[in-house]
Amino acid sequence: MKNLAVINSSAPYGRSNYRESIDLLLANASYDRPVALYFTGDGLYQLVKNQTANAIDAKDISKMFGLLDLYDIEDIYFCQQSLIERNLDPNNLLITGEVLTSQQWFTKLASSDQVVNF
Amino acid sequence: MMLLILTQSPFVKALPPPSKHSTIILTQDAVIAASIPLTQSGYGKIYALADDLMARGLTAQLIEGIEVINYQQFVELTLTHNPIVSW
Repeated sequence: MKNLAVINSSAPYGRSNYRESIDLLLANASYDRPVALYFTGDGLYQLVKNQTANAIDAKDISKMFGLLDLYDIEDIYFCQQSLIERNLDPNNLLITGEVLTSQQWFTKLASSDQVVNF
Repeated sequence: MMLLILTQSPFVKALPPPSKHSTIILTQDAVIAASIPLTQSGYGKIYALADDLMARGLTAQLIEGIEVINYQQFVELTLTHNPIVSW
């Protein structure tokens, strides 16, 4: 089966990208398709702790990331440069991922059969 | 005094040029700017909307010099400033 890479590159909650992304990911994983999740740029803000999205009547994304374990999604990659630019600590996010330099990040991504960017 | 209302992430849309004559309100994804240390210098005053900060878990990362406001204070600012610009 072809593997799928999903990229999260946009911030919650201004647009609905963040929801479509996790829906696609979990739907594919539920059919045992190999999936990987990549974070870069503002997408990393989806993983900030202590979100309370009901303050703006949005669906809280942080609970959804708890499902990744359940679906055995372990291939998760963070772009190091994006983390540094945003002053975000990879050890203090909702989920753990492998921190890669942008070069490594793209090399890894290039090994995917299909890529969808949200 | 001019009021600039920002709605997008500073990484998506560049911040307005710094001016002491501008008051800035960070709303929606623009509250990300309230957690980036480079943001504050050069503007008259910067406010950030409490609910948008809370929703994104960014309240604790707030940098110094940015004042958190609620919707009512937002409206008051629109009454005391002119012109108002959606940036």
